[in-house]
Amino acid sequence: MGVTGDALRTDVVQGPWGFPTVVHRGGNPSASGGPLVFLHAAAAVNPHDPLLLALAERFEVIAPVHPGFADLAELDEIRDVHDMALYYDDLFAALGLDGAPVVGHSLGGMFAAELAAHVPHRVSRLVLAAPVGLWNDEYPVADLFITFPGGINDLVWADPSGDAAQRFMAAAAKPTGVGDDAPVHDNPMIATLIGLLQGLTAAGKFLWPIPDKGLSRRLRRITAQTLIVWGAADKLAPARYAEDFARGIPSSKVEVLDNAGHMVPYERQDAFVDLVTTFLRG
Amino acid sequence: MKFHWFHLMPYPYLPDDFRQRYRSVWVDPPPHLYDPVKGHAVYNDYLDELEHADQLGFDGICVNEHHQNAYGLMPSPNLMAAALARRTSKAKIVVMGNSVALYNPPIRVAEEFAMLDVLSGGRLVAGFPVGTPMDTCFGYGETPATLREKYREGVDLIMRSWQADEPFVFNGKYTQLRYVNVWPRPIQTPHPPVWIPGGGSVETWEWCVEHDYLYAYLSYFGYQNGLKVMDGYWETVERLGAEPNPYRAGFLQFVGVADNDAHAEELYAEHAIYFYNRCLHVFRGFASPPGYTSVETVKRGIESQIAAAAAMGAADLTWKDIVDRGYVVAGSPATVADRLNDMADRMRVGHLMLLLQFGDMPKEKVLDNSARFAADVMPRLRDRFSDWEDRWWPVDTLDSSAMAEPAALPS
Repeated sequence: MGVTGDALRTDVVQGPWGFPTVVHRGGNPSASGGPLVFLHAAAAVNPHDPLLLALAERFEVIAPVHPGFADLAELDEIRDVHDMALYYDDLFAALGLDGAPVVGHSLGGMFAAELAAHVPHRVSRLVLAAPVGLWNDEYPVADLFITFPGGINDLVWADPSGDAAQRFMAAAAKPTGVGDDAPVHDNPMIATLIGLLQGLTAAGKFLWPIPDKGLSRRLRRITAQTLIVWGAADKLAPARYAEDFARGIPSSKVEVLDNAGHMVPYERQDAFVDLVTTFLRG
Repeated sequence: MKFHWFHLMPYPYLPDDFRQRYRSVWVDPPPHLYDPVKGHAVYNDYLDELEHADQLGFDGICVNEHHQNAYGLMPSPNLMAAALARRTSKAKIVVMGNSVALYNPPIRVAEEFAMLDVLSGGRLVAGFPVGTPMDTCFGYGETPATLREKYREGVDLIMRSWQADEPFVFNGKYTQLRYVNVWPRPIQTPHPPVWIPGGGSVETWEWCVEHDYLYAYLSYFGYQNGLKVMDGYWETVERLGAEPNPYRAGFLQFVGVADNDAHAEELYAEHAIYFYNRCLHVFRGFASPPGYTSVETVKRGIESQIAAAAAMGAADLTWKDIVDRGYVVAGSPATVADRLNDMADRMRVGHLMLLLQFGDMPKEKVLDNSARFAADVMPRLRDRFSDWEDRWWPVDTLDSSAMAEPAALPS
């Protein structure tokens, strides 16, 4: 097992892209189908993430930290979603992954879909949990960036005071596994906010001012079978976007889960992990 | 010391319950609140006030750029500067300034500023703000994380274009041009003085000092509250070994001149209250989008920012709050001069930008406030810093024999 205590282990991967990439990994190496790659949302991810730990009970999990989340300068030469898709192509090559299953949440779902559209053979199966990247005037994606810092929880959770939200934030306040592991601030709330600030700064480069950067024109290129999961109570990206993604991706199906918002993989963690397991092993 | 008459051009007809009914004066105030027929009179009054300042002997008249803003009705300050260039002849025209990253290509700014310099006979001061998040990221859709880099590349392109002897190629990250060639060329050589209005970031201070640009701190909260920022600037000047010349700095101050304190309250209280309680009613979500300020800067100031954000939601300000906190310097000419002398002592700014119109102050009061300041306050401060050379000021302005007559209405 690569899981020690309540955390994955953290590695650094070097490659031709020119900066060290932090990768949290662990889980069951004997699981069939090889490792699963998890691409995280706009909040910073760390080795204590409850969803990663749950997935690691069933799969070998590799969860890279997106460029820009540790150091904004990493995005100097990753200027748009095309550069990002090719960066992930390079990273998968460095990790020895030719065709891996990929699970992407929100911003990570957008990057996963872009990778699958740009370099289809890198993605064997695709799970998109409340991905962003499309736009419809009739049901706009909410402006995430005007909610920082005070309003973000109300936007992304169906139940901001529920157990899932509490577990997520408790984990998010723990050390990131990056650098010297010193806490970014001795006040955990401020530490969490700084992590979110850094993540939203990087995410803004790909989502500002609206997240439609041409993915709708490229979804048709995705060859992987795709599972699209949405929370019925998603206030950030309404669940109607599930059908828009499904229409664009040639081989796809949709699961909408009740009692969940944009953080659907966390708010319905058991159901989500079951869906992923059935889909990837089915 | 030099004195500049600065207009924000606020809309003076926001409803009494604006703060209660609407979330923001900026970005998304409802369009129906603006009445363009009233706006016609407002613009013409405001230009009269700026022209009056020229006649009173203010050194500069200032306009600035805001978008989707009910207290700043100048999406294009250059249009106002063009109108002023035709109706004034002495005051320098300080455009404070053009938010470079919003112009595509930014060479547009080099062209329009050159037009203004030629039209005005070499009276232009060229201001290059980054622009607030409300103007740039929300109004104009600029990505916060790349805004500053795009801005600096644009400023570099403009400066090169004014000084090049022949057309050149520019292969930038944000702008690519085969033929950069600005016509007309500015009168001032090698270029008009460059002023940078900015917030309190170390990166901005260093950049200004390294390029010898004037740094101006445009705060609405008075000089006591601005001291910490200007101290940081002067420490940067010293650390980089630059001359501590007061004329490399500017500051903005609200002022109301009256017979005495009670008279100042009678004249100016309602207009200051209008400004601070309606015009500064900005939705917090628009004020600091992630990436607009560097993570390092946020980390350095995060506790004070949280405190400031909490204070913004506080109850309405009173005239006493506004004066006690130093947001507005008000009172008799002697009181105002004492306070501004104290500011000069502690802040060392050679260029003082004055807001003598604020909120919904009507034209008659504005003209009176300006005249009182020019006659009774300016002389008491005029000699401050006279032993320093002002290298951030137009020197190539045409002399009176070459300067065209100001425009007049046909008789």
